[in-house]
Amino acid sequence: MNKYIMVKTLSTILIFEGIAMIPAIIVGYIYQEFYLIPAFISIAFTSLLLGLALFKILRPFKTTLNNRYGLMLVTISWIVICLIGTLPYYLSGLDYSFVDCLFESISGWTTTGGFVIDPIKLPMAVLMWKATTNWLGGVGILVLTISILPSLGISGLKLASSEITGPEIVKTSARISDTAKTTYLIYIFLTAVEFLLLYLSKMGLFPALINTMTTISTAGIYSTGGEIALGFSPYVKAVITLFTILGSINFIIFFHTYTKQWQKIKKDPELKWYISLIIITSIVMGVAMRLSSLYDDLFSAMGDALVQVVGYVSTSGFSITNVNELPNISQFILLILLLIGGCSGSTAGSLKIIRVMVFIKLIIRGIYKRIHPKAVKPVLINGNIVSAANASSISVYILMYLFVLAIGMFLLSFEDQNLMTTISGAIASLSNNGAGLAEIANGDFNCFSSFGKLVCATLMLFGRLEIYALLIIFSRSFWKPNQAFS
Amino acid sequence: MTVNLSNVLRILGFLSLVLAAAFILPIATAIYYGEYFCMRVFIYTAFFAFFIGSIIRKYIPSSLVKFKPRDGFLSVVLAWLFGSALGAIPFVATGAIPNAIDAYFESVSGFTTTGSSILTDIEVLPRSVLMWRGFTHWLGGMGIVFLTVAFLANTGVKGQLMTDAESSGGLNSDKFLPRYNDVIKNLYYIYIFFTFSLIFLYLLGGMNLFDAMNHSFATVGTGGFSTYNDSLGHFKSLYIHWITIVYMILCGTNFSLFILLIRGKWKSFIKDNELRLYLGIIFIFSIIIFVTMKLKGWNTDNDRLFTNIVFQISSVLTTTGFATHDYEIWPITGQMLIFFCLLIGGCSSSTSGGIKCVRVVLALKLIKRAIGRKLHPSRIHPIKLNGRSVSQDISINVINFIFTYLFFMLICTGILTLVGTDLISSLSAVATCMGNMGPGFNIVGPTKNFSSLPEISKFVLCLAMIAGRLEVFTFLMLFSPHYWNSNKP
Repeated sequence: MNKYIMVKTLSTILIFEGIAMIPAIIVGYIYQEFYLIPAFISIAFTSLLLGLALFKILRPFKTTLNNRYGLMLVTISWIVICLIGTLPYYLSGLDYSFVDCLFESISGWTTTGGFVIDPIKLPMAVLMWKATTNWLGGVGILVLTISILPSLGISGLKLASSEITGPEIVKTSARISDTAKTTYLIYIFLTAVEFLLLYLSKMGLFPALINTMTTISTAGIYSTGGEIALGFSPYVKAVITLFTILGSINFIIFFHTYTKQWQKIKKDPELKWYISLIIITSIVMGVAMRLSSLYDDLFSAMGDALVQVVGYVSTSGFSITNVNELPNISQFILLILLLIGGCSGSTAGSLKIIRVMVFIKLIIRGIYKRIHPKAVKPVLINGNIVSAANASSISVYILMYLFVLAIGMFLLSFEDQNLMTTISGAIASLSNNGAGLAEIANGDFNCFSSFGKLVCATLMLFGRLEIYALLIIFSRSFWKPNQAFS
Repeated sequence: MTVNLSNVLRILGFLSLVLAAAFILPIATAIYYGEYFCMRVFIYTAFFAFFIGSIIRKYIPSSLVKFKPRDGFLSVVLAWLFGSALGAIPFVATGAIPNAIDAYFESVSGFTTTGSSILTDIEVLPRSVLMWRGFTHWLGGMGIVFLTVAFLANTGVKGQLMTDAESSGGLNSDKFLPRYNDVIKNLYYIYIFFTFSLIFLYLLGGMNLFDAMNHSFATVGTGGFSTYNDSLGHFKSLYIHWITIVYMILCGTNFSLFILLIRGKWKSFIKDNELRLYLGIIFIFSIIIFVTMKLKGWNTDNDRLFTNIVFQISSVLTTTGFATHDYEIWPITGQMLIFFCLLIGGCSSSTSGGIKCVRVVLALKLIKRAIGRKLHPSRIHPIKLNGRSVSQDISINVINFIFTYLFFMLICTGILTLVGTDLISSLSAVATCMGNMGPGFNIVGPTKNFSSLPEISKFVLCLAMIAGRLEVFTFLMLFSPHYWNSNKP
């Protein structure tokens, strides 16, 4: 791996982030937060200038992506993006600690949505930066999971994106960059539609913008403070729920909608399971909530259950009620939904539906094989055989996910919060949800010390980069690339 | 082709006879302590068991169809369900545990060597009842199955298939233990040796015979029932605590390793991957907890503290479940490590429960290999256990097992939360029952008991205990239509 190529990539990142800060600067101007603008402008300016300079110097060097260098590049890029993203928070003169700013930046770019600085107290420019990082982070994830990671052979998502829906992508757009372009366009389109719909609800231009950017990227909701959207009207709740679902389904489906290939939408394996999961858990939760003393009628209980379920399963992490007051079964369901996550090829996080599907089918197959040890019984998804290699790769991925989760819980336990906070804090971070139960119910991670916040931030990166990318940093080969055997 | 019921029923018949014989111990205890009402209850129950067993043996002929693995699976599950039911009769009939579900729970907890109790006051129970309660641990420990195998020599039933249903599935098969019945006899001798030597050591430590026997049964079977409300904490002697620690660790070790030792194969013993992880966990977790406590300001000069830490970790990892100390007051790090130990469990081929260390060893190796593969895709990454290559099939089985275990745990937890118990209590109750450990957290913590749970939960937990004891698959298989009718496509 050439140092020059690495620096060239970093230069593009610098340019990109510099430009990304412009909306925040404009917002600062509009809201007359003049004390912030000099800091923002200087950061953006420096970033752009440095980036352009480096890019120009290193223009002759070309990049190629192969397995392990590709992973390293992806990992380093994300870390650098998050580091640079810390600066607007830190240098805004608002006296936040560095760890807090780093946490916010990572939480933003990984579209987790957990916070340590209460969004209500943020100046508008900083809030805009937060939302921008979410929105762009969503794009980043899409590109990662649809284009980059599958081509690097990561974690069985090849199953969803290339074996099943792959051929379609290949036919319509042969190169990675084309797929990426299409994805951006769909994303921008959805953003525009949601913005319009929210603006029509008269919540104000800025809140509409913020909420759009954070819900389509399945990060969370900020305009009412924390993650609790208590003051929203049913119309707003409906719009947000709808677009959260849209943000958490495989973006290929939008592609099919555009090309009017309805058959392919029906055949998408994840979609069926995802929607069924949402419906069934909403019903169970709704009934439980109605039976508890919290709700007077079944209809509003169901409605709130639906919104709550969508909020957690899409790994957005918003709540419309205090989840700690929900009946035990509802809390349990929410925690499980966090582990399941949304569909692959979307901005959602966690294990993803396709892997959970394979997980369950493997269990059933395991029981069958105990009865008939010599039988040949492959795992089928939509009638297509999941190859042994893929099934094995998915299994090991799930194992690694649980392993990282265990380590995360262990490290967080040093914070001496109660068990539920520790467990749900780790899950909320790794799944990029941002909210859990107990002390983390509304996304506020301040119950942890700086150490705990760093652990959570690292877990967020692990989750976003699908574990492998980050673990590679811990292996010796990474640091000694010229050594054939470590 | 389906299950051959006559074969299955004959096994249950033998089980009844064995249990009938087993009641001799509580009968003797009742006579010794002058508990004549209990004595009569036990005598009647013994006769009842004898009666059932004899009827079955007489009227259900030995089938001409060979005993197949399929029959084995059903036999084993029914053996635990039925045996526990028989064992629960004295609890109800003596009035010790009048509620049938509670009595069944206590009996299942005994035979599966879990050690979770619904009793709120143990010490008021009659001595003979307590003796029976403790004895169920010992019986369950080596598996009622193993007992019946020893007596099955003349019925032409292939013992191997039955025990296959119970044991850990192929990971530790050794070529130099060729005759399976001999293997079982050797394991049984070791088990008896541990039992008697521990009773002797407890007597040396000042326990009376009654306590010594009960606690020996509970330790060697890695069960955890005690005759006192404060469990082993009742005994203040450091000697007793440490003897118990040593024996818990011994009984949570792979018994085949002891056979290796007896034959002089030291090196294989020391190099065993599973043993290393097992002892390593006890050592490292204890140190981590000790250091954490020191950093958080606990008084670590008290030498009891270190003993308590090692005791609790060993107790939980070996899934014994004795308590000398309320781990719920520990720093959360300690509690988290206890929870991990609960899931991991002891070694395979021991009386412990849980996922078992050997599978955890394999899982860790698989994880390491997965990372290696991403970095060096063209390299070959073999997985070795104790120097021998592990086949693809076994790797798949291990991962499958872990997933099934966790999945079943989640389903049971869901049911418990549905009927109103909080998440942490539910999860820990299910985990501890599946792992056959004993106490959990919150409502079912080490200073509390299972009595306050709803009846449905107790029943689900009984199933969880049996499923965990039988390594989940054996239990889940019975729910598949393919099991009952293999002609089903």
